[in-house]
Amino acid sequence: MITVKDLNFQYPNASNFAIKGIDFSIEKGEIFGFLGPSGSGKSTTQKILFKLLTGYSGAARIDGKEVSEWGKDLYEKIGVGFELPNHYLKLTALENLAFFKNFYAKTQDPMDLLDMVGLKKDANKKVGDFSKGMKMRLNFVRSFLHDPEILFLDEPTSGLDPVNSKVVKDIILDLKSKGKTIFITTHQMYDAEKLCDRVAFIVDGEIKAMDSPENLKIQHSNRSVEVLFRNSMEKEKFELDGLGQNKVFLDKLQANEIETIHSKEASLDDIFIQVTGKTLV
Amino acid sequence: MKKIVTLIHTDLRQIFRDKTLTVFLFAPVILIVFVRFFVPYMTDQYPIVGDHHGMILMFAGIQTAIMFGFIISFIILEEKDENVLQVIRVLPISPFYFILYRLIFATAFSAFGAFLMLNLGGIAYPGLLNSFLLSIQYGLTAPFITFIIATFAKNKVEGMAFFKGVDLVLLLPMLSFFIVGNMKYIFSIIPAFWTYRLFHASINNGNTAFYFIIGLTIYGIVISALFLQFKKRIFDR
Repeated sequence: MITVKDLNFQYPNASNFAIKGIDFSIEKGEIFGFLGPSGSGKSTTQKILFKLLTGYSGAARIDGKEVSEWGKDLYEKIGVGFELPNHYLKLTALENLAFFKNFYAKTQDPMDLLDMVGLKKDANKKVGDFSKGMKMRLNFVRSFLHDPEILFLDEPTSGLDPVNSKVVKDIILDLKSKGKTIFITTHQMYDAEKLCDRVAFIVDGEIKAMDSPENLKIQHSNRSVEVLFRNSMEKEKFELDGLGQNKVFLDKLQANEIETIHSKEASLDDIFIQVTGKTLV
Repeated sequence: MKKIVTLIHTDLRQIFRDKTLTVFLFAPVILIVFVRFFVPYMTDQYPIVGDHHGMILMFAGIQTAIMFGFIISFIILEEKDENVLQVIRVLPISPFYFILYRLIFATAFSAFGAFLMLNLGGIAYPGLLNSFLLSIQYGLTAPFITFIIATFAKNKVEGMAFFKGVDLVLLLPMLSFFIVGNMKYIFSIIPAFWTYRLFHASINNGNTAFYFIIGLTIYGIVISALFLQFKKRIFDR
């Protein structure tokens, strides 16, 4: 569905390349996550793919066709959710959606969309009176107002409280179950882990690692468990391999002296730091 | 057609929900009433005012026309401020459709406002045909002011300052009537210079066709240059 090969991009008047020869592809029905700190090239890559940035080298294809060759019909096929709210503040939420609806061939009912993200009761309120979280939810539903096949979401849970963040993530999973292809950028590792089939770590315009969250965790995990003993409240680490034959562990287990056992699998955060040497800020 | 109706409907909603823009929308009506009733009253009180009726109508015509340019530039400026232009760029229609419709809208309304001013002002009359020609040129001040404000102002506060500045620039060529000799052509790069000359020729039986054609050409060149700047700075970033 989306293919990127040896993609390079340099902003006008910039001395360095923002994107340096990256390769990846996204299959139909897949949720693909781009993880990286601010300024790593996540949004730039997306902007190339939805034609807000031109002048790249390499290949950036949607449905086998180079994005530079797509006309305006590309925007019937794709939906874009921006990182920052962008609405007509003097119009209500419903008026905003109704306005944009008129430019698409096929659309969904704006009220249903507002209802999905808990904005139905605020449908007739001016967007200028919305909180950032409400504006972000409106941004989110506007991105699939026209029921696109491919969705680009830039930090879709940014500025949302945990409840609304879960609502948005559930909708993204629901869209995937309907066969939509979704390309997310985020620096929320937890969200990426819950949502993405595959993730790519991008730093300074280069992809440093790419795989499913599970595989990345397996590849970079420490195969051990940490045990907290009940009486001493001391912690001890045991290797996972051969744990069933480890006499100290088995004795403590049989003596009912173990309070907790935690596997020491790496989080995506840990793996990101391990692979890139950078933190996600 | 449905898209145009949507745009008009949305823009009118935005205008009527903004006090400043609503005042600017009705300002031409207030100006016409002022010229029609207050200027004759002033002329009765101070007969010397009567010597300047042509200049007053020239001034009132340009003030009427620029109001619509201001309104449209502020709608675009707000879209720029709120990043709505980004959303417009990922719609299945060209963003220039938005711009073109608004420029036509602003030009038509400006021309109509100026036409009403010229015909209802009542203090000087350039004739019906010349009113049409003058209205076309007055109307073109709308895209002129729209492009300047929407391209160069960073926000609405700056936009207001730009509006006052551009208004002053558009009024400057009126000074040419007080300059003897070719020095008056120093203002000729400002499109409004040719509109004032056309107006002057209209009420003095001069060569209106000449000023109309030259003026139209200057407006065309200046507006094209401003459009290229707008495209480069707003859409090609």
